[in-house]
Amino acid sequence: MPNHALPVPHRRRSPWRPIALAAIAVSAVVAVGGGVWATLSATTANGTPEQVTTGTLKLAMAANGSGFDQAIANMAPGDVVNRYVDLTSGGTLDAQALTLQVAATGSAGLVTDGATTRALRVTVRQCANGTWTPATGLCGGSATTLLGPVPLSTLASAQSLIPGVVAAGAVQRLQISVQLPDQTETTVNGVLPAATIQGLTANLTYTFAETQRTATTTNS
Amino acid sequence: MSKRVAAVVGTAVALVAAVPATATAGAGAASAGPPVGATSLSWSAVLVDGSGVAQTGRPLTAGWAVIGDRAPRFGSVRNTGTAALTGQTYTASVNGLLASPVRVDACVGAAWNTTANTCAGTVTTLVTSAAGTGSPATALAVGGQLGIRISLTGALSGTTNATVGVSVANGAHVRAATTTNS
Repeated sequence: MPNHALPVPHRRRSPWRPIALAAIAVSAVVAVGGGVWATLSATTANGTPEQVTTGTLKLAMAANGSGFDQAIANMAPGDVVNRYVDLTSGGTLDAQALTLQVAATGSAGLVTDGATTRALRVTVRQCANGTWTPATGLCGGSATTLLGPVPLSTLASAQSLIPGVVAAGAVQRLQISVQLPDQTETTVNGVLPAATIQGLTANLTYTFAETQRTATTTNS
Repeated sequence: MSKRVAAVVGTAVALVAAVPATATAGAGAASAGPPVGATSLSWSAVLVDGSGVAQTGRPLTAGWAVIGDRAPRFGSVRNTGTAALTGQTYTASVNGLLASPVRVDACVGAAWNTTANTCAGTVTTLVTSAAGTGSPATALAVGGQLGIRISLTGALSGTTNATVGVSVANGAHVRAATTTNS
């Protein structure tokens, strides 16, 4: 019987075969190499997160009596007008360096002295361990002068009231005195003198400021 | 400049403007709301002639040019300041040929009857030219006025020109200084 074997079909090789082989080879190298470079490691962490909070610094002003809401009208030389405010350092941080600055606009004669002592003057007094009674001007504790009298032009820059520490929550009970210094002017035949102090207006904005306590480094 | 670039620049400018120039780390401040106004008084008086013209910046003058004319001249003094006056200082002088001395009187509490030369109130002498100055305690409310009369007091007179001035000083004619708590 003739051996007529059927021809073996020729299998065509896929063109992707070399690529697949190369990929397998690379994977093997990577797997082996990874094993070679592995290291040991260990970690730990606090179970409860450490909480970090920042303090606050707040300064609030409240009128005691009329405060600064009521205008001062018709001052004559020698007049003194006392107004009362309470300053509360209401933040959680202690503060320091309490200052007062007064922005004054309006008539220069009331604001700037020049070589004279004619312009408005401001005095700040504190009532410690007590409160001011606005109607009488009496301090129920111990009254001390923190500033002044100083002319308004000096208060164009911040002036120190309490250089030291102002405890958190502390209330400063202040008397703010505005005085027109005693002086004499004579008006002749209805004409005001030159550089007069009469009939003038100044507009005053009081700004109190404090800074945080000195920064600290704590070990515990 | 494209709209995008303009928007970015605008935003940056707005942010810079929004940051206070004086901002300081760790600082607190409190300031009053609107500024507090402080005003000062004024004290001023002016003489007014018989026609009602205020003699601001000059004295009041009265003249008698005709020999034998001895009729008084009338006018007033007016408070033109914002302070009530407790008094004033007057000056008086005369000049002219055979000038007569003069006296300046006020009619307090009423007006002069210029026709009858009478006062229904109280006549108070403000100044005489013989004395030169006078400081009567004649009160004048703000805006108020007081009638005055200038009279020749000499027995004989030729031509007389009288000059009367008024001045007020806060140390003498305005209320005393006060201390106010509120």
